[in-house]
Parts: sequence; structure tokens; C-alpha cells
Amino acid sequence: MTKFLHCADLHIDSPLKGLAAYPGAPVEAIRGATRQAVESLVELALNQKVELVVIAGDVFDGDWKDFSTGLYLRAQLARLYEEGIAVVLIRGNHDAASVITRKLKLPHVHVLPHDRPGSVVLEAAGLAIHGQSFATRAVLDNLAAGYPPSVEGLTNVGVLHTCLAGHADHERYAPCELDQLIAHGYEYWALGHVHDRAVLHEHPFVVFPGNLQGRHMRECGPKGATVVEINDHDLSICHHTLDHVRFTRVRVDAGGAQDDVEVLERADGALRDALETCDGRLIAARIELTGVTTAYPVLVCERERLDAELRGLATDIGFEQVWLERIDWDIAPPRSSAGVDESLGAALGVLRRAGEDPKTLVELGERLRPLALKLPTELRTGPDGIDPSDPDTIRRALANAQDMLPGYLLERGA
Amino acid sequence: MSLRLDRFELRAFGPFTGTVLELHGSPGSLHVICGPNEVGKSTAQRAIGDFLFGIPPRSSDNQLHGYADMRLGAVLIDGDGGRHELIRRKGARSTLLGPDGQPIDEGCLERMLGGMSRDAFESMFSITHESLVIGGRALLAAGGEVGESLFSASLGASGLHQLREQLDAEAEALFRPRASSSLILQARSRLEAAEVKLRESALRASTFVENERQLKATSSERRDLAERLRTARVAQNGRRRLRTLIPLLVEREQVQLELAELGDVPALPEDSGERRVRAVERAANGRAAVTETESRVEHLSERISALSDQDPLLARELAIKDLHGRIASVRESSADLDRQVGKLDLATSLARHALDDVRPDLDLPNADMLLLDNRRRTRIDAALDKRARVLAMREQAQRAADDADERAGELRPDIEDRADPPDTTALEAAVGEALAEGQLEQRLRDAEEELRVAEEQLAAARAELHPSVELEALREKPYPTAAAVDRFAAEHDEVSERRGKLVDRRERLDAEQRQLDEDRARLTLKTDVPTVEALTVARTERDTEWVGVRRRLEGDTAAVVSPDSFERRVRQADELADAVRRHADAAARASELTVRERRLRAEDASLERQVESLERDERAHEQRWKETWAAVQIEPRTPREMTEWLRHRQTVLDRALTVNGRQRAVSTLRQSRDLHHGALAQALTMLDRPHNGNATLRRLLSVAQRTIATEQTERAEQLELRRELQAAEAIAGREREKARQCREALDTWTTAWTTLVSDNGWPVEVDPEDARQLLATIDELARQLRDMAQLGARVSGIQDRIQAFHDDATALIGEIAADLSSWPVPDAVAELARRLDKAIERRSRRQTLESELEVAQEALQATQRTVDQAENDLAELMTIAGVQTVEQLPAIEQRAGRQQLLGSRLPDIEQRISEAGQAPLAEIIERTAGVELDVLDAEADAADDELTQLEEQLTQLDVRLGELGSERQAMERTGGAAEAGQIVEQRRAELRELVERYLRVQIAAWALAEAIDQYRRDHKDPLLRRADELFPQLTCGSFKALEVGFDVADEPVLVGVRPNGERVPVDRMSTGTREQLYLALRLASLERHVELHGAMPVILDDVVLHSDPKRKTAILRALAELGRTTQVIAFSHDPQVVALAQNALDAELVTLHELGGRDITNALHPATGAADVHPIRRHEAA
Repeated sequence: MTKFLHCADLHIDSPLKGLAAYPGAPVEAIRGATRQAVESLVELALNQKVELVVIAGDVFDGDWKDFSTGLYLRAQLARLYEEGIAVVLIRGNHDAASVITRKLKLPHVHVLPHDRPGSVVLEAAGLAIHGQSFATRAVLDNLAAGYPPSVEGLTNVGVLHTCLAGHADHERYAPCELDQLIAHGYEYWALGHVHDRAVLHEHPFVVFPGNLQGRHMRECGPKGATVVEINDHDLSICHHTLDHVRFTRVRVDAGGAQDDVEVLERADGALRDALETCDGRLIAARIELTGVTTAYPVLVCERERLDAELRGLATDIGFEQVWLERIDWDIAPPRSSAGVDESLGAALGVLRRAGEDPKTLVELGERLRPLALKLPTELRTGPDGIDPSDPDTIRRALANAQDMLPGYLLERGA
Repeated sequence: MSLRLDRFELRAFGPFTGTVLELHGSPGSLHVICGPNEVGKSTAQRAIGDFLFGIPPRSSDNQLHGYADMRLGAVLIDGDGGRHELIRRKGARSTLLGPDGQPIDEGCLERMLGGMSRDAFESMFSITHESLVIGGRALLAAGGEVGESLFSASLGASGLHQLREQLDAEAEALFRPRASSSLILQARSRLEAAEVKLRESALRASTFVENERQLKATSSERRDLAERLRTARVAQNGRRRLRTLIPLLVEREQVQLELAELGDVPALPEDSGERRVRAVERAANGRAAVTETESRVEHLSERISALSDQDPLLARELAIKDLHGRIASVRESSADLDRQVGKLDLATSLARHALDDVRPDLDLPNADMLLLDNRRRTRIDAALDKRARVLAMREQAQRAADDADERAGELRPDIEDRADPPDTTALEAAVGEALAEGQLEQRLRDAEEELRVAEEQLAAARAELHPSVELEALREKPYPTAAAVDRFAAEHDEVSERRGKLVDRRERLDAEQRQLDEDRARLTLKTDVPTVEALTVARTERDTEWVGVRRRLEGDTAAVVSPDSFERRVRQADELADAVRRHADAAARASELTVRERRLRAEDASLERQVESLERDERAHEQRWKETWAAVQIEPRTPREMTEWLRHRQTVLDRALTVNGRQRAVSTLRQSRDLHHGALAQALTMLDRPHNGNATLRRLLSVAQRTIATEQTERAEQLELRRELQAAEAIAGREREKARQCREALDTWTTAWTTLVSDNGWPVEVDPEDARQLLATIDELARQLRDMAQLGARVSGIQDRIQAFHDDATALIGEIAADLSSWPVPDAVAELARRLDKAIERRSRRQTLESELEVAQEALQATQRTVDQAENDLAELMTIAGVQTVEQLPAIEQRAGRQQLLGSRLPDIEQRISEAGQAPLAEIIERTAGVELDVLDAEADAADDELTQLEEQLTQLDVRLGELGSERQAMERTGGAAEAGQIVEQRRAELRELVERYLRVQIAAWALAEAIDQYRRDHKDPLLRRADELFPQLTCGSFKALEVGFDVADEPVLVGVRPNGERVPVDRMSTGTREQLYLALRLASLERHVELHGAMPVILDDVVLHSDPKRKTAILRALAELGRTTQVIAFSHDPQVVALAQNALDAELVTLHELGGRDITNALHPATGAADVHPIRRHEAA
């Protein structure tokens, strides 16, 4: 029996995003989450007594410049070398862009070339590993097309950093078709780049193990690596969860709740359930507060207090167990008050029309531009960016205000 | 939306039971409900809200009636005049009941309420004295600003201005562009600081590589230095060895010389001197000791013979000691004997008592017959335990059966009251299908938004298409291909390029021509330019003169010579030559100008030809270009522009395609939405669930899901209740059976007990409860009998021991000390022991002296042997040395010792030389021959200095290596940048939160301001017109009008106008007047609302509380006015209100109700009596 471990997208030292600190937040506990995941990976390799660890690219973050990250990786890989475990690695798009990659020497690691496909044969283990690193950040060629034919008598593993035919959240690098990989003749395709775990095909296996550690709310759920077991050319796989911090969405149904106390009780239950499903590891939770409740006006008007109470609740549930990432408010009163009064209707009409009127959006954008000018570019751009002068952002804020304004007027205004 | 209460019933609510308020009057009317404090006015007001919107789960109005019994009833009149008799019960669902008490759908009530929430109802249709006070303050806070005042009065949101101020303040605290203290800018600063920290924390790759390079170089340098140091140390060690050899060689030479001087000496033993001295000393000491020891032996012999060794006491030593040892024991036994006898008496007495309780007729020695053996005892205990268990089980079973019966009794009516839930399968299927479509409406909205964006993009693209062409024509007409247009563009470019070149050339030629003209002009200005011809003339004249001079010089006197003339000619010729030379350039230039002029003319002609050719080409190109576009009826612009036009056309076509696609998508989604909407509506209708046909799919879906959930919950609850009932009934049966079995078991036990008791000889009638006591007494008797036996045995043992001691002592005293026979036995034994001690002491002293004598005799013999041995030793030494007397021995010993010492040192020195030189002795001697010590020392000193330097350098390198190694370790250990990166992300998220909060607040503040403005625009005129009528009325003529003025910021504000024309802004009005103004605005808004949306009951609570009677009357009149259009229900505790209403209002407009049954009218008019009372309709709450 032979075993090897397949992982990808380590993104070591990449920070966890979207976690605003608040009193009681487990600041210390989340530090070095990606490193702890890497250490768990090494422990897994040692415990499972694998012959080989395959890393399918993106060990580092492209724009990360701290060289100590590279030294850290080297130290961890040295632990594998000392136990006689081979390591085969390809560089992904982030690695190609990384300054660390260019300067870091990795003794005892098979780094596959970037100018042509390369192979590593481990006769004793009966493995032949083929792959090609990224030469530059954006490789748009079908790299897999040039991979060598399989070596007869050995189990062939193709290592590839790719988006396959395309993925909504990932750049379209090294594109190829699933059928192409299946037909290539290898027994296992160890893929990287896409951060969601996916077993796209069995016999031959085509596997994205996902990244080791979720880094923001778009990377929810368990993260880890795949152990592949080979018994007389018969392959089987087992995924192992290795993340240290788990990003998760926690739905709290406030429907029918009588008051804020009941909402908090439900949130407490939901958070505890979430904690249980995450095997007790620290969770970075986004509460999605939904439902129709008579407590709506109080909840809306005391939103900041409720936010603070929910965070306090998260702190009380367990020491360094929960980090409340944010609270999404999507609650409604039992009956809509809109339309029953001109004044309230006027306010809601203003918001509704503003969202549909490009001119008003531009005016609001101008009104908010002084703020936009003061904000750093990184905050305004990217998938989670927020640009106060951007029409889409304003449209979202207007829609949000439509939900909240009746509560403001009827509770705080009255 | 329209609603009126025709009758309101407080059936079971708060302190009320069966209280009815008849509120007739159409379309509305003013109902004044009076009652003293604490009679329940507030409860009645609350009851109206609870009836309309449901009784809250934690209602406090259950003081008299439990939650399950709380009931409110009403007859409602809707907008069409329809009557609805409804009952509201408290509960989680189905709380609205019909007159038959069966649940009915809330839809009819919701329709009458127009979907209004309770908060909105209480905000808009409830006016209290407190809300007037706050409203007045709000007017003041807003400075009477028209929009805000109207908006606030319409919504009843008297805290509006405060809310706006809060929003503004919050926005300002969050962000001001120039205020670094604002939260967002502080957060940004923290983010920037974190980013700086991150940059500083990051380990640069170059730093690591440099460290690695230095580490390698320093290690190499250290290796080289260590090798040099090793070599130098080897050389220095060689010098040091040589330096240590030279003194050894000198010492060896001196030893050899002294040995030669000593010559032959007798071979005395090495220790001969020492032996001699010791022998002489031993002999002398020995002889003195012999004399002393002999004297001591004699003295000891005399003292031994003086002590006798015969005594009778010593013969019975053991017996005396035994008796003496027993004295203490005997004394203790005597004392213990009394205690044991006492205990024995007590045990006997207790046993007698116990026996008396059981069998007083029996003697103690015969009491054993009452004791029970283990088997019988166990059987009795077991029987009693079993009885206790069965009794407990019987009681427990009975209790459990009673509880289960009670629970079943509670459950049955509850189960019977519940109707069977309807079948929701069809609705579930419709919901499932609708959910399977995902967020259909959201997708539709998205698709519509995408369509709108696509249409905008299409319009924008079309707007950029110049010349403009209809979309249809764009699609269908055969426009030139891009390639053809490109060709034209290339040609156009070429022609343009040619024209450009020709223009350039023309400009160049014109410039050259201008230059030529200028050059020519400059040349013409120089008038004094000499000609070559003038020079030739001058030279000829000079030469002619020279011929004359020459002839004169050659002797021709006839020659006419004038030196001055010749000199002048020479000078003129020279000057002309110089001038010609000076102006040669100008001459050449003039010539060149002529050539240039000719060339320019030729070029000009050529250029003209080329221009003509170009213009021909251009016309031809233009012609073809227009012909190309003629087919599509477009006046073309330049090919480049038309290339762009074609590109725009393609964009327009692409976007048109996109629009088509989006339209299809929207259409498909709409169909799908309508389909699911229809299916859900149908399923809900089948279930007789009211729903709004115009509701969104999401809303309908939500209603459907709630319906399913409600029914499922109901079904589950019913199922659970039935299960619980079955369980309760089963438990009751089971427990009753258990109780019956227990009773049977008790009967069986009683039979067995009778048998057991008779077996033990007890009376058959012994009660089981008494049996426990009987057993305890028998146990006590047994314990006392056991104690008696043990104590008796102990007393007789003590008495035996005391007697034996007396017998033994009397016998011994008679044997060896008859003089003591008259003494008390213990005293005599003590005296015997004292006498024995003295005899033993004498025996011990004699034995000591005998031992000392033996030792002295042995010492005497040993001393004599020592003397003899010393004398033999001295004789032997003298023989070896060959001398006659002892005194001759020391000189011989000294010479022999020196020879021996030197002889032993020589090989040692040679050994040390060989070892230090690390070579054979001969070779060393040869090598060191001629070495000078001073030179050697100087070399060694220099080498020491060098070694010191090398060692210092090595130390420095080691330090450097250590530093570099530490740096390396620090680099490998650090994770500071990762932590700093994490902090940056935290700061970024914090900033983002604040920005979102700012957006929320700013958008809300903006929307409020816009809404207020718009509301003012839309409603100002009708509202102010009505408020203008109400305000003078409510202020009883203190003001004649309400107008709009402008404040210092030119904002429209409310202004009251006095009868004398004085204009009073809100901030100068009295508090009461401001409250009247707010009430006027509120009433105007309510009238407007009723006019636009239909009637709705307006509930007032003591709004006339602090007004004077005049104003109270005015307010009542205004309320009566409002009551013409909608129902007005005014609660008041003020009896004066009733009187005022009776006096001032038309009887048709007001109805009086009393809560608490007190006759308010008479109470109010004690003086005038009922005769003054206006004939008003009065009702007492039934």
C-alpha cells in the first residue's frame, strides 16, 4: 500500500479578511491561522506515513513580501524530509508573482520546471508525478496538453494549477477541459487554484482539495487536504479537515420573536449549533438575521446595541471560540407600514425612486465623494470593496434604508 | 381601507367583564368616554389596539381573566357599510373568531386596516396629552419649519426633529472631511499605521540573501584564520620545548661531576640513619617502662585480695528482680479490680431492666431462652421490610394514577376544542415548485435591471452613432465592409499625406523665396561694393606709373615720374584689391542668389503641377467614397470616422442583441412568476386562506409557507396532545392495577406474619409496628448479658494475680532474709531489691581490678622484648658500616646518602630531557649545541604577540558569526509581518464597518430630508388651509390665521397671525399655543388622511387636560368636526369635559359614555342640577 497527500493553495501568512476587532474578539487565537493549518498538514503527513506530499501551487500570496514566510515553509518541509517523505511542488499564479519564490531555495523539494512539463519518478513508491509550474502570473495556455504520457507500471499523478474550463471566483489560468484530463491516461490529477474542494471524476480521479484555510466569508466551510491510498493500482481518497479557523454563515430566524431577548436567545442557540458542527474549532461567523417579527422597530433602532450584544454573546459562548464577522440584517415587521401614510410613503418612495434614478444616484455619489476620496483604494475595490460614491453601493444602501426607515420613524421618531 | 367601531365589547379583559360600549354614528361621530381615575380607561384604550392587532403574548391584562379566557368583541363597519361581528381571543394563532366562536381569517380585518401595523396605528391615530406636549416641543425644536412640522404631525412622529438631529450628529461623529477626530478618519489613521507596521515588519529577501552571503564569507575567513593560528602554535610549542631542555642539560652535567667526587662508599641501607636513631631511643625508653610496670602489678594484687566474692543475695538474684518487677503490676491490678466490679454491677442492673420489659417473671440466668438466633431474626426483619415496601408502592401507585387522571382530564377538552387541520399537500407542492425556481422575483428584478441597463447601454451606443440611423436600417442595409472602408481610409491617408507633403514643400519654397528676397535686399543695401573692373583699371594705372619709375631708376631721365602719384596709385590699387577681397563673399552671394532664384522658380512650377494632380486624385477619391455610401443613403464623413461609425454600429447591434436576449429572459421569468403566483394563489384559495391577489410572489410564498408551517404545527400539536392523552390514560390504568396488586400482597403478608409470630412464641396479636420495639429490647438484653459474662471473667483473673505475688514473696523472704519477715510484703520485696543492688556493685568492682592486673603483666613482658630488639638492630648496623661504636655511624651514613640521591636523580633528568625534546638523548644534545637562550626568548616573545593577534581576530570572527547566526535565527523565527498583516485586515474591516454605518445614517438622513421636502410640496396647501381654519378656533381667537413666513435662512416656517396683524413665529408662541398648533396640524393631517384613504377610529386620551374651559370647548368642537368624517373616541377623566360637551356641542355630534357607572352630570352640576344639562345622548357602559 502506498499513500500520498495532495494539497494546494496554502497561501501561507495570508491574513483572514473582514474580521473587525471588538472587545472580547479572539484576536490572539486567529493569528497564524494559515501557519497552523500548514503544521496540521505536516502532522497529517507524518501520522499517515505518506510517501509523498504533492503541492499543486499557490504556496504563497502573490503580493506578500515577508521572506520569513518562505523560511517558515522551508522549516516545515524539512520536517517531512527528515522523515523520508518526498515533496513535489508546482508554482501557481501567486507563486509566480511572489518575490519570495524567486529568492527562496527549497533543498530536498522537487520543484517542477516552468518552461516545460517535468516528471519525478519515485520507483520505490511506484509513483510517477508530472507537472509544470507557472512561469508568470497569468498563464493562459493549456499546460496539460503538453504533459508527458503516463509511465507504464507506475501510478501516474498529474499536478496542475488550473481553473479547468473556468470558475466564477478564480482567474482563467491554464484552462483545459475535464474530458481532456480524464483521457490523458493518468490515474490521479492533483489540481490546485480553485479554493472549493471538489472531486470532479473518479477513476481516474480529478480532485481539487480546496485551500488549507478559509480566509474570508467567500471561503466558508471545512478546508483541508486529500490523502490518496493506492492498493495494487486501485486508488481511494479521503479528505482531511485541517483548518484552524472556520468561516461560516449562521442563520438566525427571528420570525415570530417577541422581543430582542428572544432574538438573542435564538442567536445563542444558532451559534452553539454552528460551533458544534465545526468540531469545536474557532469559528468566524456571519449572522444572517431574518424573519418577520413584532420586535422589528426595537431591533432596528437599537441596531448598534444589538450588534454589540450579539458580539458579547459570541464572546460568552466560549473562550476564544467565536469571532462574529458581521451581522446581516434582513428582518421585517409583521405588517408593512408602507403606503398607509403619505409621510412614511413619501420617505419610502424617495428611497425607491432614488435607487432607480441615475441622476439621483450621481447626486448621492457626489454627496458621498468626500468620504470616498478619503478611503484607501484597497477598501474601495475588489470583491468585498465598498466605494461610497459607486452607484451600486448607493443602491444597496438605499434598499437597506427602505427596510430600516419605517422602524426608525415609528420607534425613534414617535 | 376604512373602519369604524359600531360596538366594542370588553367581554373578559383587564378588570372588565361583559362591559359594552355602543359607538353608533355614521360616518363617524365623537364619543366621549368619561370615568374617574383607576376605572380602566387606559385598559379600554389598550383593548381597542389589542382587538385590532391581537393581544400580546405577555399581556398584563389578565389580572381577572386568565389568558385562555380573555375575550374582546366588536362590531365593525367597513368602507362599504358592511357589518362584521368579530371576537378576539388571546393565543398564538387563529385568534380572530366569528360570532359563533369559530376561528375566521384575519384578511377581512387586515383589509379594513389597509395592512397597517400596530405601531403605525398608534403613532398616527392615537393622540394623548403627552404626545401633544412632545409635539409642541418638536415644533419649537424644528423652529416651525413647514415641511418637518407637517411631516411630523402627519405621522404623529413628534420625535422627528430629534431623530434628524441624532442622524446628523451620528454622521458628523463618523465622518467630517477635515476633522481628524472623526471616527472614520481615526480608523483610517489606524489602518495606515498598521500598514506602515506591516511594511516595517516584513523581512526583505535581499536582507536574508545578504545575511547568507556574509555567513558564508565569514565562515570561510574563520577557517583560514584557524589554520594560520594552528601553524603558529605548533612553531611556538617547538620553541617552548627547546627553552625547557637547556636547564635540564646543565643540571645533568652538574650531577655527573659530584658523583665522580664522592668516589667509593659502604653500601648502607637507605634508612640506616633513621634506624639507628630509632633503635637508640627505643632501648632507653624500654628500660624505664619495665621498672614502672613492675611497681603497678604489685599495687593491683594487693587491692584484689581485699574484696570477697561470696554473697547469698547474688545466688537468688533473678527471683528478687522478678518479684520487684511485679510490685507495680499488682498495685495497678488492685485499683482496676474496683472499677471492673462496678461495671459488672451496672451491666447486671441493665440486663435486669431489659428482662423486666420482656419477661419480668424470668431470672437473669434463664434469660438466654429469649434470645433469637440469626435465622429467626432475619426472617422477622425481612417480613417487616417487605410490609413497608408494599405499603410505599401502594401509596405511590395511587398518587400516580390520580395525577394521570387529572392530566387526561385537562387534555380531553383541549383536544376536543381543536378542529382537524386542512390538507396542505397541494399548497406544499406549489411552494416546492416555486422554491425550486429559486429567488424568482429577485431574478426577475435582476433581469429587469439588466434589461434596463442593456437598454440604457443601447441608447447610449445609439447616441454616439453619428450620423444617426434607425436600428432596423442598421441591421438590414448593406453597409460597406470594414475592409473596404479601411482601403478608403488608407487611400485617404495617402492623399492626405501627399497633400501634407506638398503643403510642407509649398511652405518650404515660400520660406526660401522669402529668404532669397531678404538676402537680395541685404545685398542691395551694400552700395560701395568695388568691381573687378575698377581693380583692373587701378592696377593698370599703377603699373603704368611703375614703368615710368623703373625707367627713371634705369637712368631714363625723360621718364615722367611722380613719386607721389606712383605711391597714390599703388595705395589705390592695394585698397581696391583689399576691398575686392573683402567683398568677394558678397559677390559670390549675389551670384548664388541668382542660381537659387532660378531653382526656386523651377520647383514652384513642379509643385503647382503636383498640386493639380493631387486635387484630381482627391476629387476622384471623394467621388468613389460617396458612391460607396450612396446605396445606404448616408452622407459619409471621413473614412476614419466611418470606420469608427461602423464599430459603433456593431456595438449598437451587439447591444440590441443583448436587449433582445434580456427581454426574452424577462418575459420567461415573468411567465414563470405568474405561473407560480397563480398556483400558490389557487392553493391558498382552496385552503380558504385569505391573501392579497396583488401581493408579490415572495409575499405569497411567505404566506403559503407560514400557512403550511401553521398547519403542520397545529397537526403536530394535535398529534402530540393525543399521544399525551393516550399515555396519561395508560399510566392511570397501569398504576391503578399496581395499587390493587399491592393490596393483595398486604393480605398475603398478614397471614405469613401470624404464622411467624406464633413460631417465636410471641402472642399472635403482636402488632407489626410493636414487633420492631420488641426486637430492639431483646437486642439490648443480649448485649447486657454478653457484657456481664466478660466483666465476671476479668474480675476473677485480677484477684488470682494478686494472690500469686504474695505467696512467692513470703517464701523468698523466709529463705534469705528472715529479718524482713515482719515487714509488709511489698516493702520487704523493695528492701531485698536494694540489698541485691549493693552486692552486685561489689562484685563488679573486683572484676575490674582483675582485668587491670592482667593488662599490666602483659605490658611488662612486651616492653622487655622491645629493649632486646633495639640493641640487636644497632649491632647489625655497626657490622655493615665496619665501625666499632655507635657514635661512628653518622658520618658514614651521610656520604652513602648523597651518593644514592645523585645516582637516582641522573636517570630522572635524562628521562625528562628525552620527554621534553621528544627525541633520543643523544640527538637532543646534538641539536641544542650552540643554541642561544636570548635569541630563543626573543623569537618566542614575537611569536606570542602574533598568536595573541590571531586569537583576537578569531574571537572577533566568532562574535560576528554568532551575530549573523542570531540574525538568521531571528529571521527564521519571525512571524511578525503575518501578525501585522492580520492587524491591517482587522483595521480595514473596522473602517469598512464605519463606512457602512455612515452610509446607513447618511442615506436615512438624506431620505428623511427629501421626504419631508416632498411631503411639504405635495401637502402643504390643503393641510395648511385646514390648519389655518383650526388654529384660530383652537386658540379661541388669540390668533386669526396661520401662515407661512420665512426664517433667517430663508426657509419656509409656520407663523401665527394675531388679530392685530402681528406675526408670531413658533419660538415666540406660548407652550400651550404651540400644543394647539400641533393639534391643529394633527387634526388637519387626520382629516386629509381620511379624505384620501378612508375612515379610521381616532383615539384621544385627555388631550384637554390642562386647557382652560374655553379652549377645552374649542378642542371638543374641533374633534366633533373631525367626527363628521371619521370616528373619534375621546377618553377623559375630567367631568368638566362632559358638561362642556353637553353645553357647547350639537347633540347629534357627540355621544357620552361612562365607565364606572358614576353620574357625572349631577356631580358636575350640583348647583344647577340636571335641568341645565343639554339634552345629549348618554350611554352607560352596559
